[in-house]
Amino acid sequence: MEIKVIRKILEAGSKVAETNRKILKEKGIISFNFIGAPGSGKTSLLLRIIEALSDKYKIGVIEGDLATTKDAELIHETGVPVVQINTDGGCHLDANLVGKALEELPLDRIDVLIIENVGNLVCPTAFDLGEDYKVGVLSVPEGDDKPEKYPVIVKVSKAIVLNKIDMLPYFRFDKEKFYQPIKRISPNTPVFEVSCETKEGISSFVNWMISKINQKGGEGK
Amino acid sequence: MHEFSIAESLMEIVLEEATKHRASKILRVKIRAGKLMGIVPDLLTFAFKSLSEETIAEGAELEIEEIPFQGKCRNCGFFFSIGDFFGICPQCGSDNLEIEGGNDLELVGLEIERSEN
Repeated sequence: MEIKVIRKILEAGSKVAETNRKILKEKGIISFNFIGAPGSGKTSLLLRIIEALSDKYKIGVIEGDLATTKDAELIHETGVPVVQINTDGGCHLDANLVGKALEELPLDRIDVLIIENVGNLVCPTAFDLGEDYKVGVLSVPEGDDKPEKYPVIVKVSKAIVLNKIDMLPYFRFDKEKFYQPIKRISPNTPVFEVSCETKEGISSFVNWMISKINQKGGEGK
Repeated sequence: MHEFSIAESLMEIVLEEATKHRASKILRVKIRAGKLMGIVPDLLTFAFKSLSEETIAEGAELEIEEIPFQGKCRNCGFFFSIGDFFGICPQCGSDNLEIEGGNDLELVGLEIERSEN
């Protein structure tokens, strides 16, 4: 016999994502979910952001990784509270994992939460963690064809970072080719060209983050 | 490979619905998957098969209906279904399209057998 049912397959995860969102809202925390390929420079970007923001805002970090605590240790050295999530080979963070990490963070002492997703340009885009903004982190050595090949990351991101622009002289990277699909998919999404090495462009991206923090009415705690 | 965790969530609600409807065997599972979810049907089918082993869903067929995006032409305002991000408007030929939707991921039907009592 046939049975008609309509149920969201990720309903359990969506509920947890909503709970996370509610908790963050109640604590007045604005949250960013950084998604990018392994080696795109998500952790380096995080370190630069901490450097630029931590005198004005209290930052907290959730580090998603397949294995090891290397990235979390780097963040820990800055004095910012950080929780490491090891997914044991899992290719993305989900709302459950983030919910558990939130329990371990001193939320009363955080204004801005940055979640560094597992290095992967595909899978993390499908999962709502309860965050405010997804940010796509791409980089010059990955090639100018990434927005065209991975349009979903362009679609879901509220901002896109093109990292490692200090490498432009050494790679055949056509900016026009990089920007064209982004303009077609998300003409209003800002793109920030940065180098975590030379710090070029970091302040523009940080200013975008600050504008989002202010939009939410987040005052430093 | 997020298909595996999606298959886990799917299996959970399939078995829940099966219990609710007193199924003794699940023959077919029908889902709708939007293009934005980035699901590779073969991978999801494989994951579903592996997870269904030794459950009442073992051997069940997974039917995946792929749901396209909704396109809106920024030039002429025409609405239409579209399979990817880089198409053209079927009405005016413009490539300036707003692509929306494609984030559905739902269980929509089950075919089951019921035990006599």
